[in-house]
This record gives sequence, structure tokens and C-alpha cells, in this order.
Amino acid sequence: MAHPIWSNIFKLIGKKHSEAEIALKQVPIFEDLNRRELKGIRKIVHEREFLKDEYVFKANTPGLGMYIILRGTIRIEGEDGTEFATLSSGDFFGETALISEDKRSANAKALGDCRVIAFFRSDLLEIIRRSPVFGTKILFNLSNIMAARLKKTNKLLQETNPNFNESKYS
Amino acid sequence: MNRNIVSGFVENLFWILPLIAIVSLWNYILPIFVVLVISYILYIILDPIVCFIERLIGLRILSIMIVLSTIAFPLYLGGNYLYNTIASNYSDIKNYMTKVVDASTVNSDEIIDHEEVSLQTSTDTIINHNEIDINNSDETVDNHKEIDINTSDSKEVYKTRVLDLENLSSDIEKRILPLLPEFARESVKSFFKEFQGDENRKKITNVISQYFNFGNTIFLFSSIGSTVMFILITISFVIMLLANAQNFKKSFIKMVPNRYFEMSLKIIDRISDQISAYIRGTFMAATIVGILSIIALQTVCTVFGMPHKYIILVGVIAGIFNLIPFIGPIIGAFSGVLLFILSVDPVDPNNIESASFIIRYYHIIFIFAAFGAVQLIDNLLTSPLIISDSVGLHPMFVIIVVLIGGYALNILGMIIAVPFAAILKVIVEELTWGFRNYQFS
Repeated sequence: MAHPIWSNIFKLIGKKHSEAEIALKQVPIFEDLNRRELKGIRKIVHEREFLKDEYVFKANTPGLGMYIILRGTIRIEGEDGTEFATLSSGDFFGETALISEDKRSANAKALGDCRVIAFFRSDLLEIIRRSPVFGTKILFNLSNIMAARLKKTNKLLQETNPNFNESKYS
Repeated sequence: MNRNIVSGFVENLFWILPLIAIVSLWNYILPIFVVLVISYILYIILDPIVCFIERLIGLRILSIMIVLSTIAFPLYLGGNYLYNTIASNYSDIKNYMTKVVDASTVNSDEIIDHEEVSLQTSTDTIINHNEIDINNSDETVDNHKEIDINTSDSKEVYKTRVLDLENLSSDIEKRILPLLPEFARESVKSFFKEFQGDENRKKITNVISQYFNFGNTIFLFSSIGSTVMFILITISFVIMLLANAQNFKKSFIKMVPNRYFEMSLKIIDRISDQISAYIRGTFMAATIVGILSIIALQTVCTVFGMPHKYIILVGVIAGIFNLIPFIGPIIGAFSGVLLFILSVDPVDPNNIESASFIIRYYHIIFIFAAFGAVQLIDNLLTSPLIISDSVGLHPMFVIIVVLIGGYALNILGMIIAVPFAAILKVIVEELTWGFRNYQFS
């Protein structure tokens, strides 16, 4: 009964989301996508491995898109090496580059051997071109994150500087 | 130091190895390369339509099938009509311009088109004869007789077409002479005499067959196999490209080392964006010029009552040759005039009144004006709107490139020279951009 063909088919059917799909699902940008859309994303994104001390990207290079960490830790640091943050599996960084073409403001360096998923602006544009509904979902989530960040920044600024006027900077 | 060189070499293997393979196997790759280029161009043209339908129904593969089948049906009907018109026009012109001779008597440079029949045994002879009858049913009976005579005394027979300048020039002369003033006739006659001497004829046919060698193009297609095979391969390539062009890019990017990952992705995106914009623009401009030429010529001919049998053929020629800058439009206009002269019945010089239509110099001016108007519309309206300025090449550079292409691959070379140069320019520009914006350490 345990013919290899059948066992393989059942293995395929029984297979749950892959490691990458689970990680994608955790990222707020992709959180309310259905299974088919998630599969579409999975096909588009690039999976890459970085060794210890390798740079994922460097400051002052054109921003291309965001990275999601599957395994390992990545350090976000300034050009002079001051640490901004240390991110581990499930975290994501560089999402502003999905929208603006500005240069990267920090280095991203692998602290140990890492496995990351890269999702780029060109891929997002391709999604929007092919299926606007799907693209709008991602864009909406993205702007939600940006809005939350902005709120947080404003709050921090107001706490440190009572004279700060929000409308002046918007 | 030494280790760095080795690791650098290994890191770059992903593009060095395919490049070496392509260069060393170029002769075998060329036909497939042509198929790939054609299917890539088709992919770029069809992709926006497929995306539009995908937005409506949501399934990529289904929308590809819908697009291909909806295109195939009218393309088959319309293409059949267009093909028949063009083919009959073309064979008219070919019969007009060339004559059939025995290959053994002809200098090989003069040969325009082989219609080759090789016969081994007597039984084969009969079969092959039937084939000839089917294939060349439009040939005159005299040609068949020629073959029959030849087969009887030799095993191998080549039937060959040679540019028949003598007939052509005397024909044009016959049509043009009556409408010239008396004093000009003598000089025109002596001009056409140039074509009719045996030595001169050979010289001119050599030059012309060197430049108008359709063999080049035909070789590329025939070496792939039959046309059906060629079409099937192209269609399947187009389907595969439409279905997952992203995957090809992704699997190439997968091999790129981390250091160049972002840079190469960015460069590939920019290059493919620019190339597809350029190809879409050029294709649309050529189509518009072709259609406008047909409309303009038809209008001019209807308004002034000029008979023109080959309007669609002229439109197709003008559209294709419009890809060659500067020289192309002139070729289009001259083909329009030449085919107009050929489609008018010859006039009997002694009895001008009996002729149904007589060419006057202003008819030719009308045709040139029509083409001028088309060029004006193209240069002022359509081209600036459609073709992006990003691949703009300097006019002098364009002329040089066209001439080089002409020397290398004749007409085909002239047509593909500018797109080729534009693509090379985009690649070089983007590579320099990439190296300026990314630092390596």
C-alpha cells in the first residue's frame, strides 16, 4: 500500500504552509491575505542567505524594498557603526523603501548566518498592475504601519519638546 | 591576494559561463536566438493585454489562453487575407522583376532566389514533377517546358531567378517616356540604355543582389525546420514567458552573489523597463505609420483617380522600413512610387488618347506628398508621444549604426541595427548608473 507515488501525493496534500509562508503571514503587511494571495506572494519574493558580517544593504545605496527575517539576527546600524536596532526572526525592515525611492539611511548587517525574504518595489508594482485589489490590500496595510509609526514619532517628539507643533512638519 | 582572484572568478561564474557557452556555440544558437527574440517581443507586446484581462477575471493562465485564442482567430482570418494579398502582390512584383533561367549559365552572385529541384532517379523525376506543378502553379507554362527539356539530358536541374533589369527598365521606360517633353526623351533613353547592355546589367545585378538579399532572412527561418515548427515553438515560448517571466528573472537573481544582489536586481528591472517601453513604442509607431500610409495613399489615389494595385503591400513595406531612421521613410516613399508606376498599364506612344490612364509628374508628387504628410504626423505627433526619450540616440550615431548594420546583415541588419544599439546603450547606461550608486567593499 505504501507505494511511493501515493505517499508523495498525500505528503503534498497534507503539507501545511511552508516556513516562508508562515513568516510572511506574521508580517503585518501581509496579515489579511488569503491562502491564494499568500501563495502568489511566496512565488514572487526572493529567499536569500547571508553569512556572518555580510551586509544585506548599505547606507546611501538606492532603496529597493523590504526584508523579512526567517532565521538569525540582523543589526541595523548607522554609517559610523552606531547600533539602531537588532532584529531577529519574524521581524522586518526597510519597508519605507517599498514606497519611496530614497537612499537607504542605515546599514543592515548579519550578526550570524541568516535567512531572509526580500520583497521589492518592482514586485509590488507588478502585483498592483496584475491585480489592483490584491495590491491595494498590501498598500493599505503598509500605510497603516506608516501611520502608526508617525503617531508614535509625534508622541515622542511632543514628550521631549513641548513646543513641537505637528502641523508645522506635515 | 591570489585567493581573492580565485574567489572573484568563482563569484562571477554565473554570467561568465553562459557567455562563454553562447559565444562558442553561436552558430547553433543563432536560429534559437531568433525565436527567443521574436517571442520576447511578442511577450512584451501581449503582456499589457493579458494583465488587463487578468484584472477582470483573476486567473493568469486563463487570461493568456483568452488573449491568444482571441488574437489567433481574427489574426488567422485577417492574416490569411493580408497574407494572400501581400503574397500575390509580391509574386506579381517578383515575376515582374525577375526571370527564370538555368542556373549553370548564371554567375552565382546574381541569383536572387533558388527554386531548387534535384532529381536522382527516373521514378523520382515524376514525383518531383508533380511537386513542382503544385508548388509553382502560378509559374508560366514555358518554365515547365524549360524544366522538362533540362531534365531529359541532365540529372540535376536548378531553376534560378535572376533580377530581370532589362525587362523592368524597358517597361518603366515605356511607361515614363510618353509623358516627358521632347527634349528630355533622348537623355532618359540613354539613361535606361545603361541597364540594357549585357556588361552593365551584370554589374548592376551584382550590386543589387548584394543589398537586397532575401536569402539571409529566409535562411534564418528555414534552418529552424519547417515554418509550422517555428510557429509552434514561438507560441509555446510566448505562453511560457507570459505565464512566468518573473520566475526566469528570479532564478537568475538566485545565482547572483549577495554583494551584487540588490544592484543586479535594480539594473535588470531598469533595463527591462526601458527595453519593453522602447519595443512597445517602436512597434506601435511602425503599425501607425503602416496604417497611415495605406490611408494616405488610398485617399490620394481615390481623390485623383490614380490606379494603384499594391497599396497594402506599400503600407507594409513603409511600416517595416520605418524602423530604419532617415533612410527607411525614403525607401517607403520610393516603393510607393515604383509600385504605382508598375500598376499603370503601359501606354502606346503612338496612340496616347486611347490609354485609360497616363502618369503625369504631378501624380508622383502627390504620392511623395502623401508620404511626407505621414512622416510629418509620425515625427510631430505619434513618435514623441509613444517612444520615450530615454533611449534617444544622436542622429549621427544612428546613421553610423544603420550603415554598419547594412554592411553586416544587409536589409535585415539595417532594420535591427537601431533597436540593437538602443538596447546596448540602455544596458551600458544602467551598468554605469549601478556602479556609481553602489559601493563595494
